[in-house]
Formats: sequence, structure tokens, C-alpha cells
Amino acid sequence: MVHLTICLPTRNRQAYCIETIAALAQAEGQDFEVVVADNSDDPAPLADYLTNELADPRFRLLAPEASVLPMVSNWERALEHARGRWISVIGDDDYIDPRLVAIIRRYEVLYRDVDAISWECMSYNWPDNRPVPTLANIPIGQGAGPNSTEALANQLFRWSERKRRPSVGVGIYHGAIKRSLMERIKETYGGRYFEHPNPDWESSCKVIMQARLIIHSQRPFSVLGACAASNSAATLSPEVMKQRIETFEKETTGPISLHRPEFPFSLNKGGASVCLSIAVTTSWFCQTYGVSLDGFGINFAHAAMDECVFSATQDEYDAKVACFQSGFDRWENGRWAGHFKPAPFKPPRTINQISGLGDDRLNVREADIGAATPAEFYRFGEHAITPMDSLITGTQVFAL
Amino acid sequence: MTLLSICIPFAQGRDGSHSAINAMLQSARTDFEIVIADTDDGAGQDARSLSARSEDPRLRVVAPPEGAREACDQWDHLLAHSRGKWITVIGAEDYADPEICEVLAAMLKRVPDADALSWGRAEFIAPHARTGQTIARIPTGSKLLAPEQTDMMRRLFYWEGASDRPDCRFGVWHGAVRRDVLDRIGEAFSGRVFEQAQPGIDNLCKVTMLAKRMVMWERPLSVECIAPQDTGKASAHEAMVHADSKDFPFRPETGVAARTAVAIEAFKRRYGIELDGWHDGFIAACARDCETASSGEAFHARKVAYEKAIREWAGKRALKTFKPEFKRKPKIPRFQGVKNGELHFDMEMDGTRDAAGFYRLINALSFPVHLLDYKLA
Repeated sequence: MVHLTICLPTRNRQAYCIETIAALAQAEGQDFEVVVADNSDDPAPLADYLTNELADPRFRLLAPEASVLPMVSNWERALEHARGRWISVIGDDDYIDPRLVAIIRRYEVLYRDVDAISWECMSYNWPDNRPVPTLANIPIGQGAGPNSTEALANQLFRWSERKRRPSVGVGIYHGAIKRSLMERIKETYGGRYFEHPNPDWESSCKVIMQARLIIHSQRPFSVLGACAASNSAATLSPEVMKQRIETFEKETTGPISLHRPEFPFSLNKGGASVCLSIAVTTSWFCQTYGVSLDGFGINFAHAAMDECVFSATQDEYDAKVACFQSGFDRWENGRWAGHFKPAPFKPPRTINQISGLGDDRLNVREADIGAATPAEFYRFGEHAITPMDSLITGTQVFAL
Repeated sequence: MTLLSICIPFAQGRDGSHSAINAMLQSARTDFEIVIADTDDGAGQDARSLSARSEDPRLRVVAPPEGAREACDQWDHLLAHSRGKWITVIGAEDYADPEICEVLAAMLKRVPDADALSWGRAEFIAPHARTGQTIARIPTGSKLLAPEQTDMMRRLFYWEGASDRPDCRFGVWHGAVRRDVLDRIGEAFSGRVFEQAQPGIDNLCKVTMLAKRMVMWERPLSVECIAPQDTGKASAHEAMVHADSKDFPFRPETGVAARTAVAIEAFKRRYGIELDGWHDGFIAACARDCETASSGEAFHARKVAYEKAIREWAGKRALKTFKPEFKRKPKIPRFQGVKNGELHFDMEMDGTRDAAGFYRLINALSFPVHLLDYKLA
């Protein structure tokens, strides 16, 4: 029986996707499957590779449909074809360790009600996505245990941390969700697994609301990759961010619009940021499904100010400030605009250069190591974290 | 102007690390030099001719010293031929980062009268010499510290806070010492800078006694290539020195703690330094030395050797505090991650094959050297 389905939605990044598939295929287990949901303009590369080259029954291909699907619909059909008791979604330029199956089994024994598993992720920039100095990172924390859904809800819905991104890593994207929870989500929220154009953050919202028990592991089991063509690559360049948002708008039109008068911040102007895109998603969820937003207004104003601090140039800072200011002026008749008082621009003295240990993460100058893909980086990082075998067997004692 | 001389004594009949020399010479810096002391069999010249940059003026090979065969003679010879204001000495298979110059510059801006710089320890075992999984440990900190000389003397001579060796590294061996200090050492101690079969430890003693301002950067700046367990390396001369010290019955080949203590004792005796109250710290280091053994057999052999020596030296009562425990049982996996300010990782990480490659890796994992000045500003 398939214990874990790894869903791999992809569009027009066949070379990266093939690398990711090849890396996953190296795993020996027979209790996981990979569903590749191809939404590309050219179906040939992935079809040829999976059929003629790989020919591994653990991998199933969903060919592109007659017309390009919105991203959220491509995720939806991947889930519809998943057979596993547990499901995870990763990007086509990412990596996840299929031995996660054994970890899930262990957590199911230790925590009977567990239906959502999250973990800290490694991050890695592909060699073609290093226009400026870049750092990969490896979380080096240890241990795992239940996460309070109340605390997570405050962080995600009310932005209680007041940081540019809520530190909530729970959801189906780089997480593992039990099928029964996904079915409950589907029944509760509009008869679909995913509705919003930002399905990863939407999934976090729904999992936090519906999960019985969330277990969080400090030890990473996956790598968030960023290739030159990825949306996350846009964080390295404002120009690329603008292009990506245009493409995103064009290709993600689904059942839910990104533009809502209830939260009148614009994602298609210069100055849009990941912070704003997350807030667009979480506010949509809360307003649609009646989740309390008490405290969100003032907290988000602080989070927006924090986002502005992370500007590499005066132009980038000005664009971000203008984008947020315009939204705050129109949101609830300017009720929260007075709280948005960004500090003057201060040019950063370093960007992506401080390698070493910080905030429980080991930051690695990736240009100076040999890893050339997220899978290789995962194996690299595994040399400095608790070995998977020890986690699976529950080893508690280690020799120094 | 040459700020730093990286001195490399070559050993007769042993290949040096051409890859390390090549890697050092890839640096664009012009304020350092590499000085190699050749041997009679021309190992140093071989290294130069094999180096991809054999014409690089920053690399100099000096002829072997005439009539001298001991390590300390070679070290003195290297010092005499070096031009740098600061001196470091590394082994032929080791690596030192020319960016030490950057650290010296940042340090001298803040501590102009600094006499010695030390940095975090990083050790590498060549893949062919490993027996099973080998864990590397490097410090994760990046603070620039200025310890008091008295504290360092306690750490060295009283073994305060020692692991299997004293926690004091202010010498030329994988450290940098101002030339003036070495000149003063020559004047203060018998006209020679380096003495003994273990000139590194001899120099550590002398620098710790004479240097007034010491600075330590927590992150590693060099890599020492070691043999597994690093025992059995006692030279014939060391054995002879040991034979002369009948009332200090520790043998250098027993372990790192014993080797270090033998050299410190030789220094103290030569210069009439008598100290009391260091026995407990040293015995604790002996126990920790036993605990680094990777097999039960090695642990027991080392334990028996230390027990015998401690009994002879300080009597049966001294053994009450000598209680090493063998913790590295084969079934217990080794720790990987961060503990007590150190990153523990499998030495197979990134597949490095020599000290230069290993340094490239740990450099990618550590606070960047070029940002030290910014950090301190």
C-alpha cells in the first residue's frame, strides 16, 4: 500500500523537474509514489523521460490538459490522483526525502492522532540562480513534538510575530498531511482541496483550522530549491519579481481573485512582496471563513515595516513603501495607515554574505561547495544533522 | 611588505601537500609568503616544482640547514629565512588561509600592540587513514577575544579547562606570533627561538610567558592534518628526551595529553620553573584523552598506560580522580549537529580529500573573514 504520495506540480521547467524526479527515484522504498502533474506547453520532455528513460512504476504522469490550468487547479488534480495515506506537495525544483515514510510511521505510533507533520526546511539556490552572493541554509535544531494550533493560528491569521513572514511551516507544501485531513478540508471548504491562487499558504490556513494534532520536527526532511525560473528567485531581483507577478497573474486565474476590495493591496504593482502575497492569502481565508482577525491590522502594519527594512536599494524601498501605503490608505478607510511608519531607508552593509551559524540555522556559501542540485545539497546537509536512521529507530543517546 | 610568513617544515621522505600550496597561492593577496624548508631528499623542491605556481615569488624554498637534523633546527632555519612581521608554522600536509592577513589587519586596528593571534582549531584526517565514520568538530563562534595572559598561563601550565590538551594556542604552530616576540624569546631563552623535539609546544610555553597582549578569533583559519588518534608519533628524539625524565614517567606515544605534558615538563625543567597544583587538571586531561579512543581496545590500552604512569608519578591516591569512561561504543551513533558551540559533522561532508579542500568547506560554513572588520566596526 502506498503510504506517501509526493505531488510534483510543474509548468515549463522540465529540466529541473527531471532532475528532481531522478533524485527521488534513487530512493529504494516501494511505499511511496510520485504524481507528476505536468501543466507545461510542451508535454514531450516529461512524457519521454518518465516513459522511456525512467520507467519506474512509483512515478505517475498527469499529462497537460487541452489548455493551461491555473496553478491551483493543477495542484487540485495532483491531489485527486494521489493514492497515499499521507500526501505532500513540493515544487519541481525542490527535493524531499522519501524516507519520510518511516518517520511518518514512527510519529503515528508515538502520536496516535497525528494528521499533519511539518518540519524545518533546508533552502538552496540552484547554480543558475546566483546573480548575487547567495547562501543556502541547514536547520540544525533537533527534536520533534506537538505544535499548538492556537499559537500557530495567532502567528498566521493575526500575524502576532509582526515579522515580514509568519514563521508557520505547517501545510501540505513541504509538509505531510494525512489523507483524512485533506478530505475533511475538502468537505469543509467549498468542495475543493485548494481554492486560492496561493495554494501553499492557503493550505497552511486550512490545516491549522482542521488538524487534530500537528507534529513539528526541527530536523529538515526537504529542500526548498530556487532555480532561475522560480518565483522565489524573484526575491533576488525587483525586475524579476515584476515579471513573475505578471506571469503569476496570467497563469493563476482560478476560482478566487487576488484582487478583493476587503483587502485592497495590489500585487500587480511595483513593490509587491512575498509578505504582501501571504497577507492577501491569509486575509482572504479569514474573511471568507469567518476566522477572527483581531489584531491583524496593527500587526500587519508592523510586518509591512519589517518587510521594507529588507530592501537592497532606495528604489526597492520606495516601491515597497508606496505599495503598502496605497493599500493601507484604502483598507478599512485608512484605519491602520497611521501604524505604517517605515523607518528611513538604510542601505544594508551586507546582503547574503554572513555565512555561519545563526538562528539555529547553518548558513552556507553555496558557491563554495560541491552540491549542484537540491538533492545533492540535502545529502551534503545530512552530514551535519541527526542521521535519518537514528530518527527512525528513535535513538536518544549519541557519542560525542 | 610581507605581513605574514607561512612557514612549512618538510619532513624527510614525506610528501607535502601540493594542493594546499596551490590553494594558498590562488589568493590574490600580496602581503604573505610561503617559506618551505627543504630536506636532503628534496621534498621541498619537489613541492615547488609540482606546484602550479612554481614561479610565484610568494613561494620560497630554502635549502636544508647544514648539520642539523631535529625539527627545532629546521624551524629556526625557516624563521631566519622568513620576512614576515608575523610568523605561523604549519605541517607539510596542512593548510593556512592567507586571509589571516585580513584578520591581523583588523586586529591591529583595535589592538595595535597585540603579540600573538590564535584561532579556532580544525583537524582533518585523510580519507585513507580513517577507520569508520569520522566526526569533525569546528567552533561556530566568530568573536574576537582578548584573554588575559595570566588566564592563559593557568590554562597552559595548570591545565585549567583543558580537553585532552591545554586550551591555549598562542604559539606559531597554527597560530601567528609577532616577529618581535620571537626575537625576544631568542634573547630570553638560551639564544634559540625553538627548542625541544616538539618545538610547537616549546614555543607555546615561551609565547604564553612573554606575550603581553593576546588575541583569539574563535573561527578556524587553518587546518591541521592529523593521524587517527594521533599517537605513536613520538620521534626517536622525543623518546630520548623522555628517557631523561625518569621522574615524569609519561610516554609521548601514550596520547596527546602525555605528549603535551612531556614537552611542557621539559621546558619547565630546562628553565627551572617549578609549579604546584597542576596535577588534577592534567589527570583530568589524561582521562579525556582516553575517552577520545575510537575502539574499546585503544581505550583500554591508553587507560592502562596512563594508570601506570600516574601511579608512578603521583602515587596510588592520584588515581582516585582518574575515571575515564569509554563512550564511543560501536552501537552508539556519533553525534552530528551543534553542541557546546561546536559543529560536529561527518568528515565525508562534501567529499573533501585534503586539508585545503577541508578548509574550503569549513570556510563556506563559517563567518566570512572579510566581514570581521565590519563586524567589529
